[in-house]
Amino acid sequence: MTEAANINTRYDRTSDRNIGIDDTVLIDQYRQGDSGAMEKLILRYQNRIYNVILKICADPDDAAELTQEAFVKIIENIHKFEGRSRFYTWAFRVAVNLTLNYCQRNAKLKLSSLDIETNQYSSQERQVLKEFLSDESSPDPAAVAQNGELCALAFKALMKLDEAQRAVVILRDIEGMDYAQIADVLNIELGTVRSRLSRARGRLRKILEASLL
Amino acid sequence: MKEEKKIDELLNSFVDGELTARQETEVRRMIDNDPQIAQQLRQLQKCKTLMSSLPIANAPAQMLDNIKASLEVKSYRDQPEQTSQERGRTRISQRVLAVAALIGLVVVLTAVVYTISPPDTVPERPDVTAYVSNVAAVKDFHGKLELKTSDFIAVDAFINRVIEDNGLSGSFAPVREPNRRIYSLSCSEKGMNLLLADLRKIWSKLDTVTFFVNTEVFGEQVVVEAVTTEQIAEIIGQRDSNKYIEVAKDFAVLNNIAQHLPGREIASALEVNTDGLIAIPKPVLTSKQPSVKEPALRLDGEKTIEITLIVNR
Repeated sequence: MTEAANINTRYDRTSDRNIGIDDTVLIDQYRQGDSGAMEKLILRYQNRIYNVILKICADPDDAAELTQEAFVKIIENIHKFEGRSRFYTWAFRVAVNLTLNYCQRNAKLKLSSLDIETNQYSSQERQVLKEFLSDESSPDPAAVAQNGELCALAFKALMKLDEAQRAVVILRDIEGMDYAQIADVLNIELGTVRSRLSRARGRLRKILEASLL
Repeated sequence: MKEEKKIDELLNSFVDGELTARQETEVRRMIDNDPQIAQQLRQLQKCKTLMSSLPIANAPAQMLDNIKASLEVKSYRDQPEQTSQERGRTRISQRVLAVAALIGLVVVLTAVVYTISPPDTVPERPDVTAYVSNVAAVKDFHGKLELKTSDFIAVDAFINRVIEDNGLSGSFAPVREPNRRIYSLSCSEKGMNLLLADLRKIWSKLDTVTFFVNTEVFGEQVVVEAVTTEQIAEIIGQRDSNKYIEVAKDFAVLNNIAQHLPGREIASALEVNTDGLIAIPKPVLTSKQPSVKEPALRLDGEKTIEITLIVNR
């Protein structure tokens, strides 16, 4: 199973009863007046888009509003979708750009509360993280996912990245996009994706190591 | 520093499976030969695993309903502007249609009322001296009927025959041109009505039919496009040149409107279906016979209908 397919299975897709239908077919149906086709597309991508937005903005209420706004924008601009990229990446571009703009506008408000929250590590969290980082064997993603303390630490570390770096990590490691797709979504060069991701992970490592001190 | 950055990017791309086979071999060689790079790679893989293991959050259950509600609100907000534009356009079209329908109605009613029931009083008594001097000219009808058909030979042969059958061949010899025939007809109103009744049979074969009223005597000429045989009969059935012009104008407007209406309802409504033959409606005078008799109508001599009939290919 590929990495993207593996990530795909983690999402709740019980609401998507039209898995076999291609996005372009649904878009064509919608353009021909079938509003049900757009509902199918919303159901197909709402969880993924919400999850990415939540990971970037870190607030469930904001994430819900931004997801809603992103879909409204997607539907209103569907006539501009020319099919040069996949609908999936096009929709993510709309959603991620909307979220990044929102985060930039609200940066000052968010930072103060986030700093207090993310700087607080319990001794137990520190111990869990220490064990994880010092373990020489390859980490088991399933086991990590089961470890709530480790996940909480990881989330706090992620929140310490700036939005641009956060977005690139989320799109790669959580959403499972390849570099070309990330470049498409963020409208940046492939080389920029490479360097930004490298810097973001380097910073994450430092944040995690610093939390052990 | 630059080298370090390059190694970092290579290791990240290695972890993400974004390297070419050659680059991958190069990275493997580096890992095997440098324990620090191997350690760096392990940390990177852990970092990636940590991030990819973050729990997935599903969208709130009411997300779809909220999106639909948002769209409805937005379309509701946008609607007044669009609706006012559309409403404006609709109003304009409705007004145009209403005016056209009103004109058509007025024309039809005017034609009917003036034909069947002329006004009891004449607003202004005409100058009798001037009137009498024009009596001969006023009474006779002068016009031109121009027909265009793609079935030129058959239509011309038919016209030739019916002119002969109705005893009108003695008027003038037809002018024969390669794609054109010109018949100059001079006959009584009755003779013309008989001819029109025959011509009605080939009306469907004509591509265009144009009737020019008062071509010789007066300066004012009225052109009636898409004229019917009934309309011609009605025009030439009028009392004098003023009425010829008046009724012809009405038909000109009416036919013009009818041509621009879908289905040409008005024109077809005026067509009297008599299953084909000889049923030219003659003006029927009701009890509202003109109370003021005009000098021209008091003359006993029958009026002459002079029509130049032109058949074009």
